[in-house]
Amino acid sequence: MIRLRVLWCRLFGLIRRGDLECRLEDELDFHLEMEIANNLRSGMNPQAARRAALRSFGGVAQTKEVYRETRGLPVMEILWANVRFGLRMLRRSPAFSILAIFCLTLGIGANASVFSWMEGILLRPFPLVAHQERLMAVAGTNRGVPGHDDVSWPDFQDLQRNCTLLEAFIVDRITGTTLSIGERAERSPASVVSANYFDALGVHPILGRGFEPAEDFGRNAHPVTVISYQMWQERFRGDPAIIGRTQMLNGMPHTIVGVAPAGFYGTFVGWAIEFWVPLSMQELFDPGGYKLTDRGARWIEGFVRLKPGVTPQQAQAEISAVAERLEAAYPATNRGRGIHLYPLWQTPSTTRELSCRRSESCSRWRFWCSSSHAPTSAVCCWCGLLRGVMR
Amino acid sequence: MLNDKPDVLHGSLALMVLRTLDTLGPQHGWGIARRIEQISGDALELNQGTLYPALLRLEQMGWITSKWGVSENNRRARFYAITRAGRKQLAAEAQSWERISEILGRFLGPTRGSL
Repeated sequence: MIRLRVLWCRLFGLIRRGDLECRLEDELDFHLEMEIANNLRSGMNPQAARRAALRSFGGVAQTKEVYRETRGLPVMEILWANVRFGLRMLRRSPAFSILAIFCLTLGIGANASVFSWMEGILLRPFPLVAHQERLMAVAGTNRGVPGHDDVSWPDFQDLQRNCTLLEAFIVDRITGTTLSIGERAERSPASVVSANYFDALGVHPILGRGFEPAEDFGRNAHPVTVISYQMWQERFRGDPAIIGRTQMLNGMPHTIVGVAPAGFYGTFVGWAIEFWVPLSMQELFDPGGYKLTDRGARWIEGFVRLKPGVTPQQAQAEISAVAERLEAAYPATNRGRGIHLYPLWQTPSTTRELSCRRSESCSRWRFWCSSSHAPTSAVCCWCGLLRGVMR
Repeated sequence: MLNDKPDVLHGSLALMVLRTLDTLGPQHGWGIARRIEQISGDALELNQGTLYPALLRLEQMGWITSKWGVSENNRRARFYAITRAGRKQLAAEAQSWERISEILGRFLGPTRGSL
Protein backbone atom coordinates (compact mmCIF):
# COMPACT_ATOMS: atom_id res chain seq x y z
CA MET A 1 0.00 0.00 0.00
CA ILE A 2 2.75 2.37 1.03
CA ARG A 3 4.84 1.31 -1.95
CA LEU A 4 1.93 2.11 -4.24
CA ARG A 5 1.52 5.46 -2.60
CA VAL A 6 5.22 6.24 -3.01
CA LEU A 7 5.12 5.21 -6.66
CA TRP A 8 2.12 7.42 -7.22
CA CYS A 9 3.85 10.37 -5.52
CA ARG A 10 6.92 9.81 -7.66
CA LEU A 11 4.91 9.66 -10.85
CA PHE A 12 3.23 12.84 -9.82
CA GLY A 13 6.66 14.29 -9.06
CA LEU A 14 7.73 13.39 -12.58
CA ILE A 15 4.89 15.34 -14.08
CA ARG A 16 5.14 18.37 -11.81
CA ARG A 17 8.89 18.59 -11.99
CA GLY A 18 8.90 22.36 -12.54
CA ASP A 19 6.73 23.21 -9.53
CA LEU A 20 8.66 20.94 -7.25
CA GLU A 21 11.99 22.37 -8.41
CA CYS A 22 10.79 25.87 -7.41
CA ARG A 23 9.64 24.53 -4.09
CA LEU A 24 13.05 22.98 -3.46
CA GLU A 25 14.87 26.24 -4.33
CA ASP A 26 12.64 28.28 -2.08
CA GLU A 27 12.98 25.87 0.77
CA LEU A 28 16.76 25.66 0.63
CA ASP A 29 17.08 29.45 0.29
CA PHE A 30 14.88 29.90 3.32
CA HIS A 31 16.88 27.38 5.27
CA LEU A 32 20.21 29.02 4.53
CA GLU A 33 18.81 32.43 5.27
CA MET A 34 17.56 31.30 8.66
CA GLU A 35 20.87 29.64 9.42
CA ILE A 36 22.85 32.74 8.43
CA ALA A 37 20.59 34.96 10.52
CA ASN A 38 21.06 32.63 13.45
CA ASN A 39 24.84 32.70 13.03
CA LEU A 40 24.78 36.51 12.85
CA ARG A 41 22.83 36.61 16.07
CA SER A 42 25.53 34.56 17.72
CA GLY A 43 28.05 37.23 16.77
CA MET A 44 29.69 36.08 13.54
CA ASN A 45 30.50 38.54 10.79
CA PRO A 46 28.37 38.16 7.63
CA GLN A 47 31.00 36.28 5.66
CA ALA A 48 31.75 33.79 8.39
CA ALA A 49 28.05 33.38 9.09
CA ARG A 50 27.41 32.44 5.46
CA ARG A 51 30.36 30.05 5.35
CA ALA A 52 29.29 28.34 8.53
CA ALA A 53 25.74 28.01 7.27
CA LEU A 54 26.89 26.38 4.05
CA ARG A 55 29.21 24.07 5.93
CA SER A 56 26.56 22.80 8.30
CA PHE A 57 24.19 22.35 5.39
CA GLY A 58 26.72 20.08 3.74
CA GLY A 59 26.55 20.61 0.00
CA VAL A 60 23.61 22.34 -1.62
CA ALA A 61 24.15 20.74 -5.03
CA GLN A 62 24.37 17.23 -3.57
CA THR A 63 21.24 17.78 -1.54
CA LYS A 64 19.38 18.93 -4.63
CA GLU A 65 20.56 15.88 -6.55
CA VAL A 66 19.45 13.43 -3.87
CA TYR A 67 16.18 15.31 -3.57
CA ARG A 68 15.52 15.05 -7.29
CA GLU A 69 16.25 11.35 -7.29
CA THR A 70 13.86 10.82 -4.43
CA ARG A 71 11.21 12.98 -6.03
CA GLY A 72 10.82 11.40 -9.46
CA LEU A 73 11.49 8.10 -11.15
CA PRO A 74 15.16 8.16 -12.10
CA VAL A 75 14.73 5.22 -14.46
CA MET A 76 12.06 7.02 -16.43
CA GLU A 77 14.04 10.23 -16.53
CA ILE A 78 17.15 8.46 -17.80
CA LEU A 79 15.08 6.66 -20.41
CA TRP A 80 13.59 9.92 -21.58
CA ALA A 81 17.03 11.55 -21.72
CA ASN A 82 18.21 8.65 -23.87
CA VAL A 83 15.27 8.99 -26.20
CA ARG A 84 16.00 12.66 -26.64
CA PHE A 85 19.64 11.93 -27.23
CA GLY A 86 18.68 9.34 -29.83
CA LEU A 87 16.44 11.79 -31.63
CA ARG A 88 19.20 14.38 -31.68
CA MET A 89 21.59 11.85 -33.17
CA LEU A 90 19.03 10.95 -35.83
CA ARG A 91 18.64 14.59 -36.74
CA ARG A 92 22.37 15.04 -36.98
CA SER A 93 22.73 12.62 -39.89
CA PRO A 94 19.39 12.66 -41.70
CA ALA A 95 20.51 10.60 -44.70
CA PHE A 96 21.56 7.70 -42.55
CA SER A 97 18.48 8.06 -40.41
CA ILE A 98 16.20 7.87 -43.41
CA LEU A 99 18.02 4.82 -44.70
CA ALA A 100 17.85 3.13 -41.31
CA ILE A 101 14.17 3.90 -40.91
CA PHE A 102 13.53 2.68 -44.42
CA CYS A 103 15.35 -0.59 -43.81
CA LEU A 104 13.59 -1.23 -40.52
CA THR A 105 10.24 -0.35 -42.06
CA LEU A 106 10.73 -2.85 -44.82
CA GLY A 107 11.99 -5.48 -42.40
CA ILE A 108 9.14 -5.05 -39.99
CA GLY A 109 6.64 -4.80 -42.82
CA ALA A 110 7.87 -8.04 -44.37
CA ASN A 111 7.76 -9.64 -40.97
CA ALA A 112 4.21 -8.55 -40.32
CA SER A 113 3.02 -9.66 -43.72
CA VAL A 114 4.57 -13.10 -43.41
CA PHE A 115 3.11 -13.57 -39.98
CA SER A 116 -0.33 -12.53 -41.12
CA TRP A 117 0.06 -14.82 -44.10
CA MET A 118 0.90 -17.64 -41.72
CA GLU A 119 -2.07 -16.80 -39.58
CA GLY A 120 -4.27 -16.83 -42.64
CA ILE A 121 -2.97 -20.02 -44.21
CA LEU A 122 -2.25 -22.08 -41.14
CA LEU A 123 -4.52 -21.02 -38.36
CA ARG A 124 -7.61 -19.40 -39.80
CA PRO A 125 -7.52 -20.25 -43.47
CA PHE A 126 -11.15 -19.63 -44.33
CA PRO A 127 -12.50 -16.09 -44.20
CA LEU A 128 -15.95 -15.70 -42.61
CA VAL A 129 -16.07 -19.27 -41.32
CA ALA A 130 -17.06 -19.40 -37.65
CA HIS A 131 -15.07 -21.25 -34.96
CA GLN A 132 -12.25 -22.45 -37.14
CA GLU A 133 -10.41 -23.54 -34.02
CA ARG A 134 -12.88 -26.43 -33.75
CA LEU A 135 -12.79 -27.30 -37.42
CA MET A 136 -10.67 -30.21 -38.62
CA ALA A 137 -10.08 -31.77 -41.99
CA VAL A 138 -11.02 -35.42 -42.45
CA ALA A 139 -9.38 -37.94 -44.77
CA GLY A 140 -9.19 -41.68 -45.32
CA THR A 141 -6.11 -43.82 -44.69
CA ASN A 142 -5.04 -47.30 -45.77
CA ARG A 143 -3.27 -49.61 -43.36
CA GLY A 144 0.39 -49.92 -44.24
CA VAL A 145 0.25 -47.18 -46.85
CA PRO A 146 1.57 -43.75 -45.91
CA GLY A 147 -0.48 -40.69 -46.76
CA HIS A 148 -4.19 -40.44 -47.15
CA ASP A 149 -7.03 -40.43 -49.61
CA ASP A 150 -10.68 -39.52 -49.54
CA VAL A 151 -13.83 -40.89 -47.95
CA SER A 152 -16.90 -42.49 -49.50
CA TRP A 153 -20.33 -41.04 -48.94
CA PRO A 154 -21.79 -44.14 -47.25
CA ASP A 155 -18.84 -44.17 -44.83
CA PHE A 156 -19.21 -40.47 -44.24
CA GLN A 157 -22.89 -40.90 -43.39
CA ASP A 158 -22.12 -43.73 -41.00
CA LEU A 159 -19.54 -41.60 -39.24
CA GLN A 160 -22.04 -38.83 -38.97
CA ARG A 161 -24.64 -41.13 -37.47
CA ASN A 162 -22.31 -42.78 -34.96
CA CYS A 163 -20.08 -40.02 -33.65
CA THR A 164 -21.30 -38.13 -30.62
CA LEU A 165 -18.32 -35.82 -30.07
CA LEU A 166 -18.66 -34.07 -33.38
CA GLU A 167 -21.11 -31.34 -34.13
CA ALA A 168 -21.05 -31.48 -37.90
CA PHE A 169 -19.68 -33.43 -40.83
CA ILE A 170 -19.18 -31.26 -43.88
CA VAL A 171 -18.54 -32.49 -47.40
CA ASP A 172 -16.55 -30.21 -49.64
CA ARG A 173 -15.28 -31.60 -52.91
CA ILE A 174 -13.56 -29.04 -55.06
CA THR A 175 -14.24 -29.36 -58.77
CA GLY A 176 -14.62 -27.20 -61.78
CA THR A 177 -17.63 -26.35 -63.80
CA THR A 178 -18.15 -25.27 -67.33
CA LEU A 179 -20.16 -22.20 -67.15
CA SER A 180 -22.06 -21.20 -70.26
CA ILE A 181 -23.31 -17.72 -70.73
CA GLY A 182 -24.98 -17.21 -74.08
CA GLU A 183 -22.46 -18.34 -76.67
CA ARG A 184 -19.47 -18.37 -74.35
CA ALA A 185 -18.25 -21.13 -72.10
CA GLU A 186 -15.83 -20.71 -69.22
CA ARG A 187 -14.24 -22.79 -66.48
CA SER A 188 -15.01 -21.79 -62.98
CA PRO A 189 -14.05 -23.29 -59.61
CA ALA A 190 -16.97 -25.02 -57.94
CA SER A 191 -17.58 -27.20 -54.91
CA VAL A 192 -19.86 -30.14 -54.33
CA VAL A 193 -20.99 -29.72 -50.75
CA SER A 194 -23.30 -31.37 -48.28
CA ALA A 195 -26.59 -29.66 -47.57
CA ASN A 196 -25.41 -28.56 -44.12
CA TYR A 197 -22.40 -26.74 -45.60
CA PHE A 198 -23.42 -23.12 -45.10
CA ASP A 199 -25.21 -23.65 -41.79
CA ALA A 200 -22.38 -25.69 -40.33
CA LEU A 201 -19.76 -23.13 -41.34
CA GLY A 202 -21.84 -20.29 -39.95
CA VAL A 203 -21.91 -18.58 -43.33
CA HIS A 204 -25.30 -17.13 -44.18
CA PRO A 205 -26.24 -16.38 -47.78
CA ILE A 206 -27.09 -12.72 -48.20
CA LEU A 207 -29.79 -13.52 -50.73
CA GLY A 208 -31.91 -16.64 -50.95
CA ARG A 209 -30.90 -19.71 -48.98
CA GLY A 210 -28.27 -22.38 -48.49
CA PHE A 211 -29.07 -26.00 -49.26
CA GLU A 212 -31.84 -28.12 -47.80
CA PRO A 213 -31.29 -31.59 -46.30
CA ALA A 214 -33.26 -33.25 -49.11
CA GLU A 215 -30.80 -31.86 -51.64
CA ASP A 216 -28.17 -34.37 -50.50
CA PHE A 217 -30.19 -37.20 -52.03
CA GLY A 218 -31.45 -38.34 -55.44
CA ARG A 219 -29.19 -38.85 -58.42
CA ASN A 220 -28.76 -35.45 -60.08
CA ALA A 221 -32.16 -34.61 -58.67
CA HIS A 222 -31.49 -31.08 -57.41
CA PRO A 223 -29.91 -28.80 -59.98
CA VAL A 224 -29.65 -25.82 -57.67
CA THR A 225 -26.64 -23.63 -56.91
CA VAL A 226 -25.43 -20.98 -54.51
CA ILE A 227 -23.18 -18.46 -56.22
CA SER A 228 -20.37 -16.37 -54.77
CA TYR A 229 -20.80 -12.68 -54.10
CA GLN A 230 -18.16 -11.88 -56.66
CA MET A 231 -19.91 -13.94 -59.31
CA TRP A 232 -23.15 -12.18 -58.49
CA GLN A 233 -21.55 -8.75 -58.74
CA GLU A 234 -19.45 -9.32 -61.83
CA ARG A 235 -21.39 -11.66 -64.02
CA PHE A 236 -24.88 -10.83 -62.90
CA ARG A 237 -24.16 -7.17 -62.15
CA GLY A 238 -25.59 -7.44 -58.64
CA ASP A 239 -29.03 -8.22 -60.04
CA PRO A 240 -31.37 -8.08 -57.01
CA ALA A 241 -33.76 -10.48 -58.73
CA ILE A 242 -31.11 -13.14 -59.18
CA ILE A 243 -32.79 -15.78 -57.03
CA GLY A 244 -34.76 -18.22 -59.18
CA ARG A 245 -32.84 -17.48 -62.38
CA THR A 246 -31.13 -20.38 -64.05
CA GLN A 247 -27.52 -20.78 -65.04
CA MET A 248 -26.06 -23.49 -67.27
CA LEU A 249 -23.44 -25.49 -65.35
CA ASN A 250 -21.80 -28.45 -67.07
CA GLY A 251 -24.52 -28.33 -69.63
CA MET A 252 -27.43 -28.52 -67.24
CA PRO A 253 -29.60 -25.60 -66.17
CA HIS A 254 -29.24 -24.88 -62.44
CA THR A 255 -31.54 -22.68 -60.44
CA ILE A 256 -29.70 -20.06 -58.44
CA VAL A 257 -31.07 -20.36 -54.91
CA GLY A 258 -28.62 -18.23 -52.96
CA VAL A 259 -25.78 -15.70 -52.98
CA ALA A 260 -22.92 -16.18 -50.52
CA PRO A 261 -21.76 -13.17 -48.51
CA ALA A 262 -18.90 -10.97 -49.74
CA GLY A 263 -15.52 -12.25 -48.57
CA PHE A 264 -16.52 -15.91 -48.45
CA TYR A 265 -14.37 -17.88 -50.86
CA GLY A 266 -15.25 -21.39 -49.85
CA THR A 267 -13.06 -23.79 -47.91
CA PHE A 268 -10.17 -24.58 -50.16
CA VAL A 269 -7.00 -22.57 -49.59
CA GLY A 270 -5.79 -20.94 -52.76
CA TRP A 271 -9.08 -21.04 -54.63
CA ALA A 272 -12.01 -18.65 -54.74
CA ILE A 273 -14.99 -20.92 -55.25
CA GLU A 274 -17.72 -19.39 -57.39
CA PHE A 275 -20.45 -22.03 -57.36
CA TRP A 276 -21.62 -24.48 -54.77
CA VAL A 277 -23.88 -27.37 -55.73
CA PRO A 278 -25.48 -29.96 -53.43
CA LEU A 279 -24.19 -33.48 -52.97
CA SER A 280 -26.90 -35.02 -55.13
CA MET A 281 -25.25 -33.39 -58.17
CA GLN A 282 -22.00 -35.33 -57.63
CA GLU A 283 -22.21 -37.29 -60.87
CA LEU A 284 -22.50 -34.15 -62.97
CA PHE A 285 -19.54 -32.37 -61.35
CA ASP A 286 -17.17 -35.06 -60.19
CA PRO A 287 -15.78 -37.29 -62.93
CA GLY A 288 -15.94 -41.05 -62.53
CA GLY A 289 -19.62 -41.82 -62.42
CA TYR A 290 -22.27 -41.94 -59.76
CA LYS A 291 -20.65 -42.56 -56.39
CA LEU A 292 -23.25 -41.75 -53.79
CA THR A 293 -24.25 -45.35 -53.12
CA ASP A 294 -20.82 -46.89 -53.58
CA ARG A 295 -18.94 -47.51 -50.33
CA GLY A 296 -15.81 -48.24 -52.28
CA ALA A 297 -15.79 -44.92 -54.17
CA ARG A 298 -13.71 -42.49 -52.18
CA TRP A 299 -14.07 -38.95 -53.35
CA ILE A 300 -15.15 -36.82 -50.41
CA GLU A 301 -12.88 -34.19 -48.96
CA GLY A 302 -14.43 -32.82 -45.87
CA PHE A 303 -14.34 -31.23 -42.48
CA VAL A 304 -15.70 -31.99 -39.06
CA ARG A 305 -16.49 -29.56 -36.32
CA LEU A 306 -15.70 -30.73 -32.80
CA LYS A 307 -18.23 -30.05 -30.09
CA PRO A 308 -16.98 -27.39 -27.66
CA GLY A 309 -14.49 -28.82 -25.17
CA VAL A 310 -13.73 -31.96 -27.20
CA THR A 311 -10.03 -32.46 -27.93
CA PRO A 312 -8.79 -33.65 -31.33
CA GLN A 313 -7.51 -36.82 -29.64
CA GLN A 314 -10.92 -37.68 -28.23
CA ALA A 315 -12.58 -37.05 -31.57
CA GLN A 316 -9.97 -39.14 -33.35
CA ALA A 317 -10.47 -42.02 -30.91
CA GLU A 318 -14.20 -42.02 -31.50
CA ILE A 319 -13.83 -41.82 -35.27
CA SER A 320 -11.28 -44.63 -35.29
CA ALA A 321 -13.64 -46.82 -33.28
CA VAL A 322 -16.42 -46.24 -35.81
CA ALA A 323 -14.02 -46.89 -38.67
CA GLU A 324 -13.08 -50.23 -37.11
CA ARG A 325 -16.72 -51.22 -36.87
CA LEU A 326 -17.21 -50.28 -40.52
CA GLU A 327 -14.19 -52.35 -41.44
CA ALA A 328 -15.69 -55.36 -39.71
CA ALA A 329 -19.12 -54.82 -41.22
CA TYR A 330 -17.98 -54.19 -44.82
CA PRO A 331 -14.74 -56.12 -45.29
CA ALA A 332 -15.05 -56.09 -49.05
CA THR A 333 -14.71 -52.34 -49.34
CA ASN A 334 -13.27 -51.30 -45.98
CA ARG A 335 -10.47 -53.73 -45.22
CA GLY A 336 -7.56 -51.78 -43.79
CA ARG A 337 -9.47 -48.50 -44.02
CA GLY A 338 -9.10 -45.80 -41.39
CA ILE A 339 -10.35 -42.28 -41.00
CA HIS A 340 -7.97 -39.57 -39.83
CA LEU A 341 -8.50 -36.00 -38.61
CA TYR A 342 -6.01 -33.25 -39.44
CA PRO A 343 -5.64 -29.70 -38.18
CA LEU A 344 -6.72 -27.21 -40.82
CA TRP A 345 -3.21 -26.14 -41.71
CA GLN A 346 -2.51 -29.73 -42.63
CA THR A 347 -5.70 -30.16 -44.63
CA PRO A 348 -4.69 -33.09 -46.84
CA SER A 349 -6.44 -31.89 -49.97
CA THR A 350 -4.75 -28.48 -49.64
CA THR A 351 -1.27 -29.73 -48.92
CA ARG A 352 -1.66 -32.20 -51.76
CA GLU A 353 -2.51 -29.32 -53.98
CA LEU A 354 0.59 -27.52 -52.75
CA SER A 355 2.60 -30.31 -54.37
CA CYS A 356 3.97 -32.12 -51.40
CA ARG A 357 2.17 -35.37 -51.55
CA ARG A 358 4.70 -37.95 -50.48
CA SER A 359 4.10 -38.04 -46.77
CA GLU A 360 2.58 -36.17 -43.94
CA SER A 361 5.86 -35.45 -42.19
CA CYS A 362 7.22 -34.03 -45.39
CA SER A 363 4.37 -31.59 -45.84
CA ARG A 364 4.53 -30.49 -42.25
CA TRP A 365 8.25 -29.96 -42.47
CA ARG A 366 8.11 -27.86 -45.60
CA PHE A 367 5.22 -25.83 -44.32
CA TRP A 368 6.99 -24.86 -41.14
CA CYS A 369 10.29 -24.27 -42.84
CA SER A 370 8.96 -21.86 -45.32
CA SER A 371 6.60 -20.08 -43.01
CA SER A 372 8.56 -19.72 -39.81
CA HIS A 373 11.94 -18.94 -41.29
CA ALA A 374 10.83 -16.34 -43.74
CA PRO A 375 10.06 -13.54 -41.26
CA THR A 376 13.16 -14.16 -39.17
CA SER A 377 15.45 -14.16 -42.13
CA ALA A 378 13.76 -11.07 -43.53
CA VAL A 379 14.59 -9.05 -40.44
CA CYS A 380 18.10 -10.48 -40.24
CA CYS A 381 18.62 -9.46 -43.82
CA TRP A 382 17.62 -5.88 -43.20
CA CYS A 383 19.67 -5.61 -40.04
CA GLY A 384 22.66 -6.93 -41.95
CA LEU A 385 22.14 -4.37 -44.64
CA LEU A 386 21.98 -1.62 -42.06
CA ARG A 387 25.15 -2.83 -40.42
CA GLY A 388 26.89 -2.81 -43.77
CA VAL A 389 25.96 0.80 -44.23
CA MET A 390 27.13 1.79 -40.77
CA ARG A 391 30.69 0.65 -41.37
CA MET B 1 9.37 0.49 2.65
CA LEU B 2 8.46 -0.45 6.19
CA ASN B 3 10.77 -3.44 6.31
CA ASP B 4 13.33 -1.80 4.13
CA LYS B 5 15.88 -0.81 6.76
CA PRO B 6 18.56 1.51 5.43
CA ASP B 7 21.59 2.41 7.44
CA VAL B 8 20.90 3.13 11.09
CA LEU B 9 21.50 6.83 10.87
CA HIS B 10 19.12 7.16 7.99
CA GLY B 11 16.33 5.38 9.81
CA SER B 12 17.00 7.28 12.98
CA LEU B 13 16.77 10.61 11.16
CA ALA B 14 13.22 9.75 10.07
CA LEU B 15 12.39 8.82 13.62
CA MET B 16 13.82 12.07 14.96
CA VAL B 17 11.82 14.09 12.45
CA LEU B 18 8.58 12.32 13.31
CA ARG B 19 9.24 12.75 17.02
CA THR B 20 10.04 16.45 16.60
CA LEU B 21 6.88 17.11 14.65
CA ASP B 22 4.86 15.09 17.13
CA THR B 23 6.13 17.17 20.06
CA LEU B 24 6.40 20.64 18.55
CA GLY B 25 3.59 20.60 15.99
CA PRO B 26 4.08 21.93 12.43
CA GLN B 27 7.63 23.06 11.75
CA HIS B 28 9.66 24.22 8.78
CA GLY B 29 12.79 22.38 7.73
CA TRP B 30 15.20 24.68 9.48
CA GLY B 31 13.19 24.44 12.69
CA ILE B 32 13.34 20.66 12.56
CA ALA B 33 17.09 20.74 11.95
CA ARG B 34 17.64 23.13 14.87
CA ARG B 35 15.54 21.01 17.18
CA ILE B 36 17.41 17.83 16.28
CA GLU B 37 20.72 19.55 16.85
CA GLN B 38 19.58 21.02 20.16
CA ILE B 39 18.24 17.75 21.49
CA SER B 40 21.31 15.80 20.47
CA GLY B 41 23.64 18.53 21.68
CA ASP B 42 26.83 18.61 19.69
CA ALA B 43 26.95 14.85 19.77
CA LEU B 44 25.31 14.45 16.38
CA GLU B 45 26.90 15.91 13.27
CA LEU B 46 23.81 16.40 11.15
CA ASN B 47 24.27 17.39 7.55
CA GLN B 48 21.26 19.64 7.42
CA GLY B 49 20.98 19.05 3.68
CA THR B 50 20.12 15.38 4.16
CA LEU B 51 17.02 16.47 6.01
CA TYR B 52 15.17 17.58 2.88
CA PRO B 53 15.25 14.33 0.90
CA ALA B 54 14.26 12.59 4.14
CA LEU B 55 11.30 14.93 4.55
CA LEU B 56 10.25 14.29 0.98
CA ARG B 57 10.44 10.54 1.53
CA LEU B 58 8.35 10.76 4.68
CA GLU B 59 5.81 12.83 2.81
CA GLN B 60 5.67 10.28 -0.01
CA MET B 61 4.96 7.58 2.52
CA GLY B 62 2.12 9.63 3.91
CA TRP B 63 3.59 10.03 7.39
CA ILE B 64 3.87 13.81 7.17
CA THR B 65 2.20 16.53 5.12
CA SER B 66 3.51 19.91 4.09
CA LYS B 67 2.12 23.26 3.10
CA TRP B 68 3.32 26.79 2.65
CA GLY B 69 3.06 29.06 5.68
CA VAL B 70 4.64 32.16 7.17
CA SER B 71 7.65 31.82 9.42
CA GLU B 72 8.38 33.65 12.69
CA ASN B 73 10.35 36.27 10.73
CA ASN B 74 7.53 36.76 8.22
CA ARG B 75 9.04 34.74 5.44
CA ARG B 76 7.29 32.21 3.27
CA ALA B 77 8.32 28.75 4.45
CA ARG B 78 7.26 25.16 3.95
CA PHE B 79 5.73 23.76 7.14
CA TYR B 80 5.65 20.06 7.87
CA ALA B 81 3.12 18.35 10.11
CA ILE B 82 2.80 14.76 11.26
CA THR B 83 -0.21 12.74 10.09
CA ARG B 84 -2.15 10.07 11.89
CA ALA B 85 -0.31 7.38 9.91
CA GLY B 86 2.92 9.14 10.91
CA ARG B 87 2.01 8.91 14.63
CA LYS B 88 1.31 5.21 14.25
CA GLN B 89 4.62 4.75 12.50
CA LEU B 90 6.38 6.76 15.19
CA ALA B 91 4.94 4.56 17.92
CA ALA B 92 5.96 1.39 16.07
CA GLU B 93 9.45 2.61 15.32
CA ALA B 94 10.02 3.96 18.81
CA GLN B 95 9.10 0.59 20.22
CA SER B 96 11.43 -1.24 17.88
CA TRP B 97 14.25 1.17 18.72
CA GLU B 98 13.71 0.62 22.40
CA ARG B 99 13.86 -3.10 21.88
CA ILE B 100 17.03 -2.85 19.84
CA SER B 101 18.75 -0.57 22.31
CA GLU B 102 17.69 -2.85 25.15
CA ILE B 103 19.19 -5.86 23.39
CA LEU B 104 22.36 -3.94 22.59
CA GLY B 105 22.43 -2.73 26.16
CA ARG B 106 22.38 -6.31 27.34
CA PHE B 107 25.33 -7.06 25.11
CA LEU B 108 27.34 -4.02 26.09
CA GLY B 109 26.22 -3.69 29.66
CA PRO B 110 28.28 -4.33 32.82
CA THR B 111 28.38 -8.09 32.53
CA ARG B 112 32.11 -8.42 32.23
CA GLY B 113 32.40 -9.90 35.65
CA SER B 114 30.06 -12.73 34.87
CA LEU B 115 31.94 -13.78 31.76
